[in-house]
Amino acid sequence: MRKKEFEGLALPHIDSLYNFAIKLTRNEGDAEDLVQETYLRAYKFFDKYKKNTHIKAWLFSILRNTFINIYRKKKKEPEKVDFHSVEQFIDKLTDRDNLLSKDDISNDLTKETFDSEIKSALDELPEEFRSVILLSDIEGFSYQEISDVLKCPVGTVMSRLHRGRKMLYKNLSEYAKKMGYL
Amino acid sequence: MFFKNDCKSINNYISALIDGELKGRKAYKVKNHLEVCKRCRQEFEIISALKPIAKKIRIEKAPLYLKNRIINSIEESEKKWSFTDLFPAFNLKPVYTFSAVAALLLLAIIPLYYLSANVSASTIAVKSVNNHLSNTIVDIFDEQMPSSRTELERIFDVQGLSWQGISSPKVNLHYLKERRVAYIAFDRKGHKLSMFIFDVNNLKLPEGRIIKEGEKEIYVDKYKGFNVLFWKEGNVGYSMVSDLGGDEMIHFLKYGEGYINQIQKNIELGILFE
Repeated sequence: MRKKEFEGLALPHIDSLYNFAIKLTRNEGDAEDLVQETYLRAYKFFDKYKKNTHIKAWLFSILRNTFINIYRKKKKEPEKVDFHSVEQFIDKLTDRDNLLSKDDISNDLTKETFDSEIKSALDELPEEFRSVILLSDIEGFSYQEISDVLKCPVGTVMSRLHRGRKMLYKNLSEYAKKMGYL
Repeated sequence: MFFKNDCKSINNYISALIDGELKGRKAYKVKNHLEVCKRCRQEFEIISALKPIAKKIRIEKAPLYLKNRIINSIEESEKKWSFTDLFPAFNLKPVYTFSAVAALLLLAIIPLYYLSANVSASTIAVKSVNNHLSNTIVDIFDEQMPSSRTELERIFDVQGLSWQGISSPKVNLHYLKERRVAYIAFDRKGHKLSMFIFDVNNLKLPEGRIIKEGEKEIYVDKYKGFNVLFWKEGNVGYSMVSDLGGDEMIHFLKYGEGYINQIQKNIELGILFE
């Protein structure tokens, strides 16, 4: 009974969880294992899940915890961010006369070449920034839900999301420049 | 700190304002600042304009077999801790005495069962499953290099197929000539089914359950929730891994054998999955 209920509630989110997992691990095999481990843990602690609350956010927080515990331990060096260059990027953009207009951007976005550029720009972001962008802009979580998933205050979500977006756009602007968009 | 009216403290709240997540006095403060600070205003405009970029991030879908793999692993895990769930019976009513005794018996038996189950996972099963998970050959089956020309070499030794991956929508083949191992991955009803062909040589054979399928003796093993079938013909070993049920795999084996022969024939003829 418990198993049926769990499967009915949790399994429909498998695609979202897998998508998040693959963005975290950047590798299909690890992503599959991570999702499987997430479901196993979620099932084990299913009693702790509060009925009628957002199960997707609960599953995401288990997945992210599992990722941190298992996969990040493997890495030797912590990820570093060069905030100075991020700030410079905004300065450079605002200094220019031919500032991007909304129309230019949406036209450019229809180009398929952007697809892989966005992927690698996202992959380059340190995990905490990548996660917050994915949760907000892909999964549509509220800031409160993101703070639950990432176990950090809402204020931190705000600043991480903002810095993350700046970093992402900076990575993309180099591509845009190279291709003559900027 | 936030209410200090300078860029540094206001700046990080720009995205929150764009997303409509900033309410009341904070929102008012940020908006006021944007009116007087050109730099932050421009940043606000750039971020607003670029926000839709995230919608272009490709969404990856879980492979179909993953769902079954998870359901299977939940079943497996349930077997492992079902006996601990019986614990509370101890402090309850006398009617539970029987179940408490049963629980004690289970406590004694289940760990033994799992211990033996884990130990029995043979090298072949472990390596097959690892390779199956990684989609390629990461674990070589036999460390020892055979000196003479082997059966496997006869099957796969075709010019242009020394280290090669060949694929079609339904089948993938990797063959490592140097190490004499071939990997064929099939797609079966949306489930991945991996087949490894390798020299047996000194490899320790799996112990445990054997089923007869025609002339073949098939060893059945399980590792990480995957079924592993193993059989041999002469000095050539075959192992098959999938999250499909054992019956389904045997069924595939029955008619899939023709498929594998065809692959081998195609390799010899140089047709290779047209």
